[in-house]
Amino acid sequence: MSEDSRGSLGARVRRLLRLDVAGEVDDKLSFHLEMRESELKERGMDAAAARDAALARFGEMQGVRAECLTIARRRDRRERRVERLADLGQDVRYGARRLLRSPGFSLVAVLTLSLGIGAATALFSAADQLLLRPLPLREPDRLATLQLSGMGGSFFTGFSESQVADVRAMTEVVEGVAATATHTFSLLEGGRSELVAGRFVSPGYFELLGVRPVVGRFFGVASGSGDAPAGQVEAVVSHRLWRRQLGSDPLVLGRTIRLNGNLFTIVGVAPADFATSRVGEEPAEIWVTTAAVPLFQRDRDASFEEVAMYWPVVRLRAGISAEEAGERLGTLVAQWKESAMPHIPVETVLARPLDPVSWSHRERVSDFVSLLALATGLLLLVAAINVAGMLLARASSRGREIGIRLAIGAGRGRVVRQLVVEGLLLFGLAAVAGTLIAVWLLELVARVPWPVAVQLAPALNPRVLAFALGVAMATGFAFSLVPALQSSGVDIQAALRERAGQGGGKPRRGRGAVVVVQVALSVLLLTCAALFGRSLQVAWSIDPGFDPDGVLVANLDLAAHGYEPPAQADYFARLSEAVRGMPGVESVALASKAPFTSAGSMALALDLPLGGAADPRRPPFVSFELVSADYFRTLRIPLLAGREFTGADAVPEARAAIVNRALAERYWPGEDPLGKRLDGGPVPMEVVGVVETVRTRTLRSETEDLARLYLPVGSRPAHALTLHVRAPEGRTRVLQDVRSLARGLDPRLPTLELIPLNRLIGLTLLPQRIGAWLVGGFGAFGLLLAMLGLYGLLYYSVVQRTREIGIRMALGGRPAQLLRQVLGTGTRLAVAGALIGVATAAAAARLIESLLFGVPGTDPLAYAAVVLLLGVVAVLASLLPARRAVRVDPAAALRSD
Amino acid sequence: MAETNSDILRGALDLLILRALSWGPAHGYGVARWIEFATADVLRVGEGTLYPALHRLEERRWVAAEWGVSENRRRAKFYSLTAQGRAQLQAEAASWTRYARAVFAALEAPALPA
Repeated sequence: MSEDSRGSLGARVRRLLRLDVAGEVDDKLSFHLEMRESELKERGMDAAAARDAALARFGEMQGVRAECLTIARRRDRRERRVERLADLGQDVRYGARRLLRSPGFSLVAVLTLSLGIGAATALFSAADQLLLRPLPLREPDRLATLQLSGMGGSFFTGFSESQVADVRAMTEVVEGVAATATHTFSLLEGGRSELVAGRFVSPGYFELLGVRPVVGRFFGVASGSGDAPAGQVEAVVSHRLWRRQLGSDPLVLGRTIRLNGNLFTIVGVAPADFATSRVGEEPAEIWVTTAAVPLFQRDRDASFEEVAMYWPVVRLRAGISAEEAGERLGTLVAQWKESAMPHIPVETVLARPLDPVSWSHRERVSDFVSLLALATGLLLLVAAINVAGMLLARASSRGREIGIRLAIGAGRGRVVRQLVVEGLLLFGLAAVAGTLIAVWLLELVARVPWPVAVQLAPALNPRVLAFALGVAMATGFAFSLVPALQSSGVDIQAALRERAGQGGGKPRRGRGAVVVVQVALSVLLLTCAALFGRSLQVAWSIDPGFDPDGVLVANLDLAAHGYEPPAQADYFARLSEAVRGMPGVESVALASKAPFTSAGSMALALDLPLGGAADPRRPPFVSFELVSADYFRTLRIPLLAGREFTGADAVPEARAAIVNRALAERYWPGEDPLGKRLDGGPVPMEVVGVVETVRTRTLRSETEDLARLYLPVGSRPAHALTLHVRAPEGRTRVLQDVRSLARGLDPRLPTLELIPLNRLIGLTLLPQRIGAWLVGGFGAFGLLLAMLGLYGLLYYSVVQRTREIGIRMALGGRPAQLLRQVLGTGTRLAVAGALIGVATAAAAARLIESLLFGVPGTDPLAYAAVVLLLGVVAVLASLLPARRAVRVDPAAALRSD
Repeated sequence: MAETNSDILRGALDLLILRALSWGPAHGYGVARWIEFATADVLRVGEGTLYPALHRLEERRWVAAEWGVSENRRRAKFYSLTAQGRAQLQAEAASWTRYARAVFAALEAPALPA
């Protein structure tokens, strides 16, 4: 061997061991010394003297060596880097060329993946906005909300203004307090009237939270004194309102608007992300101070000083936790009970930290989002696995090429790296496409009329983009690595000799595993969807106790539009009368709330001995509703005894009351409720009728207290009533007629839109509906991919074994046998996947049990349906390749070589 | 005295190396010998300093290195001038000459007129 080749082999080894650099330097320096030595020896010096002289001439050896090493190493590192980049560039170019050469594969793979990545990214963006984004407030962890609570936590109420002042005085516990109360205002601006959600707040509210105005100012702490407090007619608008209604007018300060007829001046605009920071509450669009409350309290006869309408927000002193604050503030309760709230069972002050998700909706939203996250994750997994399977298939068909590359000296690492880069390219493209899909999905979500107020911007912030890319690269790496490792483990000899009729066994086993996993995941998703479907089925079959079909409802908030109570009563009376007379209308009624809505719920304390097996821990509180005459007839709630309300009952201080069966059984078990006396309101009431118990809150029995009291409309103040119209036929006509009628009565009011009661009921089942459709969609998609994978695998194996099949047929094998064999393989894989999937689903079902209605997580019908579907689809997927196998022409197969 | 000379020499070391290599490829020892010869051994310096200089010149791609066989059948690294190195040599030689002439002129010049 020549010097060079030996040198190059040694150099390669040395390079591998990184000894090259040091060795070279040493070589050079020792060469120099030797040359000098021999020269000096030639001149006559002896060996030892020559060596010393050479060293002396040379100078300081160690220093020189060190310096040379540093420089050499630096250069070496730089060269390596350049080389690696060049390699990478080559891999990328090669990978891109290969992908472009099989556009079908690439397109399908990218689409599949981008769906998965897109869904995951959309979900992350939503979760980020709803749950993860910190509130744009100053030190939000020191903020808390307060409630008065009693009866072991089952009773809540707000604070009155004087109680808020008492809390404010507890300066060792709180740094500041701001009272808040929700109110819907009728906003009149520029000739247009609109209902907006708003808040009454203490003047220092915004400062307490640490928010700065975008334009103008906030209320300022000193709200003046005297008869008309200075801040009384000031209003702050939300950013959204400013943009939408006021056209982002930079001169908005000083503009006047009318709220429920009262004139207000706009003094400031809140920042853009402030109103939207809490889920579950209508985002507030307008804020006015508590000093303005008297202007809106027309229909309350109680002195508003004592009305417990405020839900305070407090900033705790540093170091005090919410719990501790609640305890210490609890000492005020004793005082209050004596003076202001003798009859109200308040025991403690409950302080809860302010968090982005409104406390009443927290569990529901979190559960739901977790479920979605899981389903999306599974979808992504299915998609990624599918693409991994495709990559595997492709790689195994490139066995020859890989074999050649390995044979001519490309390291296995290099081949694996190239395959992984190719996979990453795919995933990278899918990340880009997925991001676009995510944006589109978010737009779609924002358009859905959710019952819960949700603000979702289809915004792509850097965090979300990073997430998309991160997910894509991580899954891409994982799912290209395995196929790459698998296919590069090819036996070189075999690969080089490979012909069309033979194939490697290892890739096939891998693909089989891929199919099983996909089937398992799809079964998991489909089973969950089926469970939701069953829930829906059960839910719809639950008899709420009344007949919602044909009933239309509409809510009217007259007080917000400036109607005084007498005018309200008059309007409602005229409206009901007129609608009753319309063709197609069977009956009409009014009520304080529509079934399955939460607005307008009221309760009062009954001073009654609890009879029978009533739970002594239960508060003596009973929900009540105001209903007009004909209410029960309109909703077809059976009247068990006594009578309905009449017009004579619709007066303040009316004594008539109707109870339902649940209430009667709780208070007077075994007795006749008619004529019984009820104490607890301003006047004692008498039971004049008994109706059947109905469900009007949720369809789930465990959470609802079904005892209900009905009082006549007009006996108590209620500013908003819901019109119920039973119109079994000709709904469209009735809708139009009612609309124009209402407009005729008062054109200033917003248009009266009736909606079918069934639609309201449907809204409460929204999570289950979404669950069924979304998860079902994911599952169906996953199943499709799994079946494609199965089909591909079987087809491929048939093609690979054409020769073998040909021989079998030639030797007398029967087509039926062949069919059975192929089908057998297919069904074996499907069954394996199904078993795993069913087992996982049974375990996972526990997680979603909170969202299921009366259907256990192991509902046999749901599982059976999914297994059946899988069976049918798997057989179909296996049939086609089986047919191909059967049609193999033995002669042709044997001849192909 | 020798130290002062070495200082000056160190400054011109790169230039000398480039010049040495402009006659053709040579290994490190060869370059040392040429410098010895060309400067009549006046500018004697720790020969060790040659090697870091050579490495630096290689890093800047003014010289290129290659393994070869030396006169006494030993393996040695031969350095040669690259095209950029040649250009650098011309530039540096010109500026050094200018500098030297200026110093010369200064040494010969009289005092400033009063």
